[in-house]
Amino acid sequence: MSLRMRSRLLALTATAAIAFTACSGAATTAPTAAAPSQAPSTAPAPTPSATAAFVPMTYPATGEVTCPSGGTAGSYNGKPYNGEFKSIKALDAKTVEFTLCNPDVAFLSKVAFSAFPINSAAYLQAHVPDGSIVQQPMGTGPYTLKEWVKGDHITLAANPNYWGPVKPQAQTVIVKWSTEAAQRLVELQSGNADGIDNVGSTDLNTVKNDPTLTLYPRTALNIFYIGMSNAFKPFDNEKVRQAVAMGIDRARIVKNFYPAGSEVAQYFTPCAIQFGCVGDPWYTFDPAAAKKLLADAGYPNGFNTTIHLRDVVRGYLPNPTQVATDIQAQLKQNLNITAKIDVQESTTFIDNANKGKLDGLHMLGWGADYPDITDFLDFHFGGGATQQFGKHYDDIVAALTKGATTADTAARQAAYVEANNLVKQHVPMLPVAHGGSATAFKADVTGAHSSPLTDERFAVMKPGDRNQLVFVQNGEPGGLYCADEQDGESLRVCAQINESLYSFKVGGAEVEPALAKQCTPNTDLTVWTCTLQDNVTFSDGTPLTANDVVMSYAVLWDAAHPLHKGRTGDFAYFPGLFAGFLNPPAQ
Amino acid sequence: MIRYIVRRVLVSIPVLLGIILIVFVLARMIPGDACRAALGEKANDVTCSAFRVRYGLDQPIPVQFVIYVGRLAQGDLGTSIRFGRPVTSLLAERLPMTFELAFFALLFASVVGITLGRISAIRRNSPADVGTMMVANFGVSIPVFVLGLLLAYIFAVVLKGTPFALPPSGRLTPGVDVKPLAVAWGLQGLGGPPRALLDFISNMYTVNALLTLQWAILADSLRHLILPAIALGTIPMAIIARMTRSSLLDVLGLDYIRTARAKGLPERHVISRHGMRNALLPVVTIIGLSLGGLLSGAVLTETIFNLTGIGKTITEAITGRDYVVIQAVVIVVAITYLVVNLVVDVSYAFLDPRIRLG
Repeated sequence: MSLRMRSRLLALTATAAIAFTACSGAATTAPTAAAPSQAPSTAPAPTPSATAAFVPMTYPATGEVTCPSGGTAGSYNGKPYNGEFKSIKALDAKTVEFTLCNPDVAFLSKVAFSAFPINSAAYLQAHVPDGSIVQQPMGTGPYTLKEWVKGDHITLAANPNYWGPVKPQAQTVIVKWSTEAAQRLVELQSGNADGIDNVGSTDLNTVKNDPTLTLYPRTALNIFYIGMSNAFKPFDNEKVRQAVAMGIDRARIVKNFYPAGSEVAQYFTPCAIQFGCVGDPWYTFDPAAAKKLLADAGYPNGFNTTIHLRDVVRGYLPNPTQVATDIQAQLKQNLNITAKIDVQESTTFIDNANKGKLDGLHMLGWGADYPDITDFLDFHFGGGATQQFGKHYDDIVAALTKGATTADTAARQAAYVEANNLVKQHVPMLPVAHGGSATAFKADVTGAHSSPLTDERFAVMKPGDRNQLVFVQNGEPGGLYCADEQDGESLRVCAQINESLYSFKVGGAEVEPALAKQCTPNTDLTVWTCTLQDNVTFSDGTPLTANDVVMSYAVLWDAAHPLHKGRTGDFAYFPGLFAGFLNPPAQ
Repeated sequence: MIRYIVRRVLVSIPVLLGIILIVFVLARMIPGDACRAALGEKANDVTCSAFRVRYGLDQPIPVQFVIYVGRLAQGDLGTSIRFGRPVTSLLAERLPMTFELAFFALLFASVVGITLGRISAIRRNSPADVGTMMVANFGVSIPVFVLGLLLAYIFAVVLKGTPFALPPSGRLTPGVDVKPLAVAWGLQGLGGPPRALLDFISNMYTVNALLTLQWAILADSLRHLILPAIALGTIPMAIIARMTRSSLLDVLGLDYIRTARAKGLPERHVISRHGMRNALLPVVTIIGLSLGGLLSGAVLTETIFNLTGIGKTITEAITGRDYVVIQAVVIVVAITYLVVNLVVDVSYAFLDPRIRLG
């Protein structure tokens, strides 16, 4: 399936959750095994699947999923299908097989995401219909939810049944929230909190200079770039784009407007992501060469243009208007380009960018959904990319397609060297910065860290001689059934309670086995077979089986499944990462 | 009296309808899209169109308004876009916090303000008068967010480790939990409005702790309320102090005070029994009007001290384009304000027997 197709499918499938109510009674496929039924209860009790002979589930149980191909939608149950999954099958109690419609080299990075938790099938059946799973999650993780005092805090208690080799270091974790960086810092300084997220950029030195505190800079998995659309003059001329690329001093921008831990971007993808920084680094700042290129392109005296932006602070762009003003000054000074600044309302700006309506330079950025290069390069420059940079660059698309359809490291490396070099040559955008952020902890907290994916693991942190760790993050979670959540605040808490087949290394972006001992692909990356860890139990004592994995994914995948319900019902990450729902509702 | 109250309530209905209309329109004039505010900027058009259908945002605004008023008439304040929960339950959780904070702020403002005003009036033009009025002027001038941050920094960071240290945020020390009244009294089976009322009272931690005799929790809760109550109550305290001073000075110059003194009454009795009672009439009005200011001031105070009451709720709702919550909070605040004004007017009759309502 082409990337363009995939992108369209994202849009198609996103409506599925909304229209689910209308469809929930129809076209739903029960797993082949008798679904365990259990009255809603949190009492520890083994499920039928644990006590009876194991009957492996397959999803969908009936009918054949026809995969999309060559830009044409596939089908299932008479409905169009544009997703990536073809089937999910429990081969035995400890083995699950995912069959995909197209090769997916980033499969492990995706399944490691905390938006794809493995839940107990029985618990889903008991707690999804009445919506209680949103407030009362239950998983295999190191902590269980003790209480959630709405608007105030969440208390997590160590899971006595935790299967992992490293037991939770603090018996209790209290997660609080405050939107104000200054307030979070006062919490830490006063001793009320053991750790805080997102230290304010002006507070970094305060933390560094306080011997009772330790700062943990977070590896930036984001990119701020200045985009140019080849659909508009003079940016249809490659030399003009290259001139802009050489004519802006990016180091000056990072030095003046970014917090410590930020870095000048030499590639579009951060280096923490595999293959992100292969190929030639970006142009060095050279205003003389830039001016010459501009003259060669027929603009010796510069031209007039617009810098479009939205005045919204993001990790990749902490000072939007100041940065825009600096770029405006640099364009004038270095290239004699006169730029006016156009600040647009945030959503209008995003819409205009995606539809290719921004005629000058535009300031935008991206944060990782999952730590794989496909999330950066394919989304922006692949066949399914938006019209943000105008007409797609076919040679970049071809290189990215090569990289995304092989698991061979050398072949991937070669493909991304080519892709990065082509991006440098065509300059659809100018990568400026990877914006840093940081967590801070009391100095006596051992195991403290920051995670590039913002899913810090509290289980490895020991707060001095205390048994209770208090962490203050930016906001309150929307819900704790994270299959249907998108904000980092929810996902961080969920990651303590639920686990996925794979996870990201503590404080890193590399994947490692979690509930799965391993997931191995076939040669063309279309079948992934996962073997589950032994002796894993959910916090209520229920043993983990392959059927739990099938059920956990089936309720996300099938928009018509009776358990395809959550806080909003959008399940936006599933179609976002796996291209589409089964039984998508009609638009 | 009853006729007066009924008439005031009836007059309040069009005022309330006007407020509902204005807030409804203003909330929709906030730039930005509710869908992307709720689901994130990566939400695509298809997701957003379905989102709008689900929350009725695809309808023309007049249609949305009619539907909203219809539901409101049935007591349905709607479902929060951000939290996906009924706004009534959100308010039931968060309103008690704001009421508790406003009560202690008003208590601080009234007690300190009246005391300072009284001292200032009795010792007119003395250093005490100048000093108290300087405090009052300082209190009126300093913005809530500056005072709040200053108090938090001084008492939580500078005085950390001393007996004067106070917590900079939250309602209770982490790890300290309040038992809901329904649990404490074994009434878990209770449902409906009585349970809702019980839960509402439970969420006022000081009241809860008093009723269940949990003294440690009462002390902890009060410690957490000191700084926000001072921050929130300082401006009204200053106003009350100035008003008390000028009102008491006016009263102390009247003939009946001279008569009282001529009769040989001790000065303490002249001030307390004859002066203060009459001087308090305008002060009571100010105290009543201050409540509106306290509720709006709670927006900043709750944000600074990380207290999730309705002030912080409306801030988050505006940021998240949660129209339903914005409307509900404003309606609740407006009703509170109208009720308080009515209570203040009725209280005049008790404070001054010459006043007849009707």
